[in-house]
Amino acid sequence: MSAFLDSQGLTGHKPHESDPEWLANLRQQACGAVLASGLPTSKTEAWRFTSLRKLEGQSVSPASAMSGTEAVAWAKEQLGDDETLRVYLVNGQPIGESASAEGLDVTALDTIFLNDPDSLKAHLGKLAHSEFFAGINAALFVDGYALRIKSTHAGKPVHIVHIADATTNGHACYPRILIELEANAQANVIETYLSRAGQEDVCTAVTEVHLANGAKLDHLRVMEGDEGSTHLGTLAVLQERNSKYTSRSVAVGGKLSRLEIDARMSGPGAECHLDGMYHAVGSEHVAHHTLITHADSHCTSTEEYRGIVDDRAHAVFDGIINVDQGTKGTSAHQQNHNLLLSDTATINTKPHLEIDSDDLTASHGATIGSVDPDHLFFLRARGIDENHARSILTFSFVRSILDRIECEPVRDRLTAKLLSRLPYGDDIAELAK
Amino acid sequence: MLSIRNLHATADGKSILKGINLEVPAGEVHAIMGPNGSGKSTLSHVLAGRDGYEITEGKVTFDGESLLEKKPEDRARAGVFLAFQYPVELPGVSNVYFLKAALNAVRKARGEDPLDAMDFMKLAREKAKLVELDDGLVKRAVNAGFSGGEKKRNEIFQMAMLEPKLAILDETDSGLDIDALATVSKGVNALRDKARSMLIITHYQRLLDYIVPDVVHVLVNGQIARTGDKELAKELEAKGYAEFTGRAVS
Repeated sequence: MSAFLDSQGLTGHKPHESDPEWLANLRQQACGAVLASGLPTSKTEAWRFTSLRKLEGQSVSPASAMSGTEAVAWAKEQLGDDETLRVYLVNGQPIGESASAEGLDVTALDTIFLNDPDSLKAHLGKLAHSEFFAGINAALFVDGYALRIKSTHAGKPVHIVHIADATTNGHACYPRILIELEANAQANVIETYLSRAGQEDVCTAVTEVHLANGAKLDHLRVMEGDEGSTHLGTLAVLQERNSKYTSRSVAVGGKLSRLEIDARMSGPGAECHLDGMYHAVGSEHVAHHTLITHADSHCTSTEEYRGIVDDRAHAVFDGIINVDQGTKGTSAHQQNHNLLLSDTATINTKPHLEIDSDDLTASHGATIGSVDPDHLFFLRARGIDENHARSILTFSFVRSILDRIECEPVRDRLTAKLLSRLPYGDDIAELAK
Repeated sequence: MLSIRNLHATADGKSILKGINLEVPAGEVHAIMGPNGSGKSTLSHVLAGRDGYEITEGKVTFDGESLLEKKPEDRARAGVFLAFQYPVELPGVSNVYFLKAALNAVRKARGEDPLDAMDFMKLAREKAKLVELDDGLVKRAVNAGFSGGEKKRNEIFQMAMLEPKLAILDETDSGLDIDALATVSKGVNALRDKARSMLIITHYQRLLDYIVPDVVHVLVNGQIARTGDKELAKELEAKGYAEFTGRAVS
């Protein structure tokens, strides 16, 4: 047993008092699975490139939300006014008012457990698998938010702000989010994971998303940690007929930032678009693992992840597209492009398709390269100095992903955040406008 | 303006320029013609400061200063402009941002104040007219999705904005249809000036019907084989380069 698992109280784990029976069972199963498997090692295919050896020996204890209001004030300052409808979680626990608007209901899970627990039964814990970190979250999460969105909803994006606020080293938190869109509902949801205070913290996050027939969700997920933060995120999506899901991941900081996406199109005519942008410097490690399943016919998926990796940093992209037997009219395209800025940085990219159908168009591809010398020479030959030219080309390598963020203040803030991390990024502030 | 003395250059250990001598006084337009592989593009790249070439002998002075030690950006700031044979596409970088950064870097080196956004756009609109580049293209990402002709017009637009002392046009006619050639040439001719020299590098005489040179040089096997006036270009068009390369006329 590793210190990491042992210290979180998984052994002899008891369900929470407010847990309905189905949740208590779910927690027990997850707990059993995690204890049986232990932490993944480099022999586990999906963890081949992400070492957990340091984490394994680390003792962590569940963090409280004692400093909640202070942390929320801090986050407000970080985020500025971004014209979104916000809710905050500190160390996985809702703090402050929940949000509501026409056709939108955002309620703390704990409140629903008290009043109407069975309304969560259909999807909570049913969409995400319960292996490894998703399992740890299932066993240990205390609270979170459920977002229920009706077809009458329109208006501002909902912004779920997660703050890991470790007051001492070794805090763990387990944020849990459930997003349900009823038939033909449309929404724009942003999740931002921030780390405060620079202490060692481990955030094991799970978000489950269900899209009923014809529903449409734009989902931006931001990993913005600091030098002490470990983020192990799971995003599970189930899509019904003709629904459209767009996930955009932005990773701009954190000692270890990993996101696993499992998106399943279970009805015909569904669309799933995953893209993302990552920037890793120093000794940061950032990993995106995606699995898209085409379980029905006439579904479309696209994937485009672009990243910049510098210093001794390490980036991983591992994407699987699964096309089930007997499906027809599938379109599946996957791309991963990496800009390598240093000889000591590492990139592992593994795009692949698992196809059990012959009626489809599909493609996948990956590139790893440095700044194009022809592009660099062109800019310099016009009088732009080398550092400025490199910074222009580095930013322009990933900007297409950031430019797709619809909510302008959020896009501007993330762009500025990226520029603040790039060498000579300040020189190109005007380019980003 | 530009003085090249006994210039030798190699790429990947292979000797390409083998003792070039060339004087281009201020205000003159010189054409450099030659068969494929004669070293024309290498000469333009070496003058602009591209990596990948080793200068083994000789010197180049520009405006009285030695050029070859300078970084590409410093050459540009001193007034050297290379119009690329294959202009690069830069998705994500707007023409406006790129050119404003370039122009203000050049202006700074000339001791001039940077242009603000409004003055820059005013100047850009005026210069874009020279090559009939519409506003939409000016605001788009650099060359992204541009046709061959639009890319070359964009090069001349950049030249008009930066007002170099020496413009090197590397195969500017390649890939252009006759209408685009006329538009590009009109732009270049409008930029002829007694204080500005031009080096027109081309395989074909066709371009020189539009941009009439003062002097024509024939570059063969890394050396200037002959120098003459504009009639020399016509002669080459008629006879080909066989006389210089020793190969039979095909």
